[in-house]
Amino acid sequence: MWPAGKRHMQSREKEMIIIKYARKEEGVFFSHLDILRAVQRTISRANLTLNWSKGFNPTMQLFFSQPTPIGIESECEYLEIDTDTDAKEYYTKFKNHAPNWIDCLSYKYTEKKQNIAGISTACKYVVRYETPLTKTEQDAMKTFFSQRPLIINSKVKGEEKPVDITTRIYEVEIGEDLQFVAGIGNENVRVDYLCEDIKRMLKINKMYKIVKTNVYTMQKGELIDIDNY
Amino acid sequence: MKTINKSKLYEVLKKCEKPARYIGEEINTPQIKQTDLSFCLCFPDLYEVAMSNIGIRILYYAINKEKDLSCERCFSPSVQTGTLFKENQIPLFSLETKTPLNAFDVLGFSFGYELSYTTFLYMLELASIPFKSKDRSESDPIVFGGGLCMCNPEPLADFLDFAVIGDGEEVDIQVLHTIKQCKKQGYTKRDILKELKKIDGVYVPSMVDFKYNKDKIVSVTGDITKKAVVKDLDAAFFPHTMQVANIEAVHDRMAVEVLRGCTRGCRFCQAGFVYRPIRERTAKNVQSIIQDAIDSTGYNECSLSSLSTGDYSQLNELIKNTKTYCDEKHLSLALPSLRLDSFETDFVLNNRKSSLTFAPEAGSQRLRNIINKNITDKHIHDACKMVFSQGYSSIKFYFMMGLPNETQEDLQGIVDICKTVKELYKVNKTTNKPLSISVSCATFIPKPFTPFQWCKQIDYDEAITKAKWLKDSLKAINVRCSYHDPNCSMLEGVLARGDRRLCDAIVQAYKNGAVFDSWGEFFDYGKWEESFKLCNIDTKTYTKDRDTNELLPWEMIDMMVSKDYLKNELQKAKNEQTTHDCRLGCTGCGLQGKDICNQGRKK
Repeated sequence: MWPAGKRHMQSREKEMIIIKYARKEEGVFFSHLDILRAVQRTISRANLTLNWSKGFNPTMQLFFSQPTPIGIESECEYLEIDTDTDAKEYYTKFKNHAPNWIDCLSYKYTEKKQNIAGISTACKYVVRYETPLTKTEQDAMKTFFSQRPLIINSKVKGEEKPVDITTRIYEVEIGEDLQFVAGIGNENVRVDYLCEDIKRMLKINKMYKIVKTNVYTMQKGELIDIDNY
Repeated sequence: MKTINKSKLYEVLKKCEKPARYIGEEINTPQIKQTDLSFCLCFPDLYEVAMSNIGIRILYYAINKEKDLSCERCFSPSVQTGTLFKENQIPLFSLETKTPLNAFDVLGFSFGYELSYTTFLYMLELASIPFKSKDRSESDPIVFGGGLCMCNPEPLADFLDFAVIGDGEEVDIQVLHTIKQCKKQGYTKRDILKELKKIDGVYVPSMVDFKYNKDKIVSVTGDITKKAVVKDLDAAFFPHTMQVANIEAVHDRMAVEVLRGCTRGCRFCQAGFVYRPIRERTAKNVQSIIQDAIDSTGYNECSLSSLSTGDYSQLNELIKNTKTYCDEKHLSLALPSLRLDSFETDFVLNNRKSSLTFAPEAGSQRLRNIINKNITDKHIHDACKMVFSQGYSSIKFYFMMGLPNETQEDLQGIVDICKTVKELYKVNKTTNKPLSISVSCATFIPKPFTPFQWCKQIDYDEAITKAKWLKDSLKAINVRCSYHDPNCSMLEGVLARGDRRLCDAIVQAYKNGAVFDSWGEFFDYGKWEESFKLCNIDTKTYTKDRDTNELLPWEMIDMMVSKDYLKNELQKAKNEQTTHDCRLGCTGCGLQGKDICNQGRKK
């Protein structure tokens, strides 16, 4: 008998193209489903071929990294496409037909599905304020992140709820900007709620923007950048 | 023109629901030219509704293709976003260049349904534009309306500088060119309106004078406005592309208008009378539009739009010719308006849909004759047998209640149809799934320029009694039934056949908080009731039956279908007589006399 999931994994062992793209400016206002539709239409417009599911209503075989909340910029979004076409040509055509707000950065060819959404453990975020953080603000932030337990107001199924994120914050670096590595997936930290809590509790009334810069996977207790995986 | 601060806007958008509604930047957005006349096309509903509107799309591309004209878009923000815009002093702006609406020279609003009137005021308020045209200065934009509701623009008479009646794609361009020339010569708004009035299809409410007594119009003075007609639809402009909506639109697919008008003459159908004569696009033209638009958008579904797509004479040729292309592109064709008597197996086989919808409109043959819906029980039974044998197990019916001369037997007819369909399923089914029937029932609303324009609309009590009886009777045979809110239908009826005395009530209702009235979750009749009371308006004045010799609020509009024809149709309805499809021989509606129709002549 096949071990659970083994058969599924085997059927997925085929050529895949991974496209890394950024979403900036207007791009931050698109939800995950909007992006999915935009990518499907880009592929159709560019006349690109890919494999379709074999069900009653065939769908494109596309796989995305974990969704980034609306309002957060990202320099590291990943898209896996199940296709047998030449990767370079595919990437060029995709890039030429994609909306302006999908900024294609690079591509990679892999022999099997990486399941980036499944293996991602954490992301690095940079919070850039309209003016650099002052010494007092930096100190206040250090105190904030050293709280145990570290509890923020998050929304769970539309309801506001306190969530303990102590174990979900991996690294924090406070300078002119705030940088931290926080969990995603099952151990997700809603960084937009975290930043709102910081703003409210520490009374830092500056405009800021959050940028997701790296995605990590956990290998033998160490965080490894998906780009180097 | 001054545009709004993007970074401030983006900061606010982060707090909005579905912010992608407000950023523009859609694929296939044309370059907006700097022109002497700035024009913004507005739609008083949310982005996802507006982006599904085929009329907006035609006008947008038609105007932007003109060398010396430009057209931007603006749609109503949601209540939550509108509040945020107000709090942050962000005036309502155009999607393309983010220019505040009050900085445009001309604003054109499209009115597809009467319940969008308060949302229109909401947009004006967010743009800091006075509601009434008499309160607007020379520097404020010229505001006009278009769309199906402009058959009777009188309820908006105080707000609109003018209204465009009929097909907009040619007349709107002529209107904008005229305004541009007039502005160049330094004309005042009043003088511009005088020039516009000379154009066929332009109705200037301030130049038409009505005198009323308690519940009637006693006199009307002014010039009659003839509707604008695109004579050759195939030669008329239709965009070979469309913008791809940023978020999922209500109809998230490519749409092409294959024909305009309808020859069936259903007596309740406003569109069937006001969009006459019937005009078709050739299959070759439609095919080229489909291929270009699908290539440029990436949609995987294409809708062949019209009032009755089954009546499109080149439908089979079109489906046959596009089949290879559709298969290659994983493209499915949707035929949204099929009549029961123009329904063929091929359409069903080509569509992998789980449910089908039919509109018999009335439960008995007698009532279907009255409304001239020329379908029989046999048509219904044949269509059901065919779809059941193709594996369908879910079916939906549209009916109306409160039709003229309706009796309890007619309502019982709806229940009987469902019972028969259930029996037919037992014999013809090819699956083990249980049959699912749902019935959607709307209250009949008499509309201008139909033979029933003089008829009474049933009141709330009667509508709710009938709806409840129907719901209970259908529940007993395990059929789901939903019905429109009778208050909502009543309001629609008042606004559809209303006059300019309603303007203040619309403003008052808006001030009471009425907005997005066509959305069930926002509709609150209490706000309207209060405003009618404050403005001393008896809604029965507008929903009661009218004498056929009475002056009507839309008296000064010539829809080209003669009043005598409508009166004759009403009489035939009373006699339970039908009128045949005018392609089988001219029925004398008046269009042939005006030399824009040749239907029925060929035969």
